[in-house]
Amino acid sequence: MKNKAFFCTVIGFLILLLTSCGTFPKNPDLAKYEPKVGYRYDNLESGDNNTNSLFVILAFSGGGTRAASLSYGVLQELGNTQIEWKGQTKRLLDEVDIISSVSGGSFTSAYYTLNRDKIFDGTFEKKFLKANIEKKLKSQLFKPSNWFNLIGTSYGRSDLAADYWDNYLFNHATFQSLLDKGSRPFLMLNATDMGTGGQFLFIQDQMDLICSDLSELPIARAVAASSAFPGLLTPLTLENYAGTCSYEPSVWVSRRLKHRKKAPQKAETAELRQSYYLKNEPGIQRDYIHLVDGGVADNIGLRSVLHAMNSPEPSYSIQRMINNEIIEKLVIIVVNAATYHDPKRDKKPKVPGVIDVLTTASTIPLSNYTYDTIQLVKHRVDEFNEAVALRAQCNQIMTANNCPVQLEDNLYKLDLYLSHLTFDSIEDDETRHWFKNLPTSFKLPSETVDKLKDMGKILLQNTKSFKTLLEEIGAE
Amino acid sequence: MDDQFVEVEFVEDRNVLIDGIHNGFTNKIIRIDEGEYTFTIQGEDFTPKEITKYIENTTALKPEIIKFEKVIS
Repeated sequence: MKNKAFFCTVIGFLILLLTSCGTFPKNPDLAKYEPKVGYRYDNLESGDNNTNSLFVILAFSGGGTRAASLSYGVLQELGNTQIEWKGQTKRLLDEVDIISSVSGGSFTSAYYTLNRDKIFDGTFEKKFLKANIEKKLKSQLFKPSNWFNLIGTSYGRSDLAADYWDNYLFNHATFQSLLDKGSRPFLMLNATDMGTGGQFLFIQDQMDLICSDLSELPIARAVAASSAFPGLLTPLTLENYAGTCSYEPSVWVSRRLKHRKKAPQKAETAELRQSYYLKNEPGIQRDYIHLVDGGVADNIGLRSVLHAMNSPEPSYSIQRMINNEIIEKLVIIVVNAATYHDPKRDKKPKVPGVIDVLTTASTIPLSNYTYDTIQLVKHRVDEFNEAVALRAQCNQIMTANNCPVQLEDNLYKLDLYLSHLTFDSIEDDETRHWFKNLPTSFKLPSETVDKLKDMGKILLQNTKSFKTLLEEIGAE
Repeated sequence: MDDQFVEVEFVEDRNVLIDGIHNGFTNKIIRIDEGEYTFTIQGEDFTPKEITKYIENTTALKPEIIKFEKVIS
């Protein structure tokens, strides 16, 4: 009888244990779709020292602590750069409007957006850049309280990491905390949706599609999704509540589908968008969204910026701000911490292992894609200038030929400054190789972090378009 | 992704609304990507009330012209 009671107790305990196993922390649902509410670009003021006419966008790449340190150095340099604009002397950092980031870069962007200048007080360096984060994360795996969570099939190592960042780095801040700041920069944390292969942005415009309220979501979960490097960390899951908040799809979706023959690629983009909220349609059953590292879709966070330059649709549409003659100078600074692929492999005849092959298969396309993205943005910037130049040239020809009519000067001109900060532009071979051989990890020696911070400053100072900008608006 | 160019012509300078959102001004060239849009302008005293058009094959020298006439009551 005693044995039976003991057996029952053990079984009961095991059932209790298994039912209390970890499930992923649910993303909050959205009671009602309200296009004017939530973490959106339009709901942030520009800020006291921030004009719309000088519009600054930063894009921080992935690359673990290496990327986080390099982008931190760039932020420091922007903070040290004095400008004179519209009668005000200020720091260029005060004019930053949007930060789009991926993976390692997302730690710096999120911490800065949340804490502003306090990022420079040493805490971030001590707690993140110069800390052995890998060791800290591993130690979480050995905590018995986490074991039960990890037994669950929907709670993964990224959930554990997210909980850790939430406690350790972001102090339980949510996107509402960013809204409460009231002013820009507008943070765009990029993850990759495994179901579509496209970017998943942690902004309310994106969360509307799945009827989820971003304002209550911890920033740490978005950062963890953005940095869920395939293989090392597990994907992070969001529940899709689509159909519960009376979401009204944008008109451009139906129009893009209507003109599939003319623009099939645009129709495909519209279909991907639909896949979030038409979840009960045949062939589409997306009750959950699984997110991995933003670098899988775009390792420099520039695609969302490109979208804003090409489309009038997003709330942060740069195209629209240009048409409305709001922006006079558009500054885009891309901080790209890309390195060489593992050079040690080619020193031995040994057949590369499965992990090496999988990592290579997942990272090499990213690098190639990164190059293409940069080229697309450059092309876009050139296109803006060429259209204006074309009309000016036409008028010159007409004047030279005594033509009685002239083209109207009615195409808005703006100045564009694209700076691509990359280790490739380091002239000294030894220095360049040293930086390009740094590993992608969350533990780098303190001296290496310092060198990366300094390199961020140097790369920015030496970029041609940045020098041009400072010649025009730099203060003594 | 090449820009398309549109000029919304009207006798006065007004805000242009594309798909219901302020996006440019009348008599100025507007940059937009290829696609179908509904154009209108601010106010009530014009005709037609809106124009929907697929914008493609334009250049900075040859923008698509969308024309609204003022209605005098």
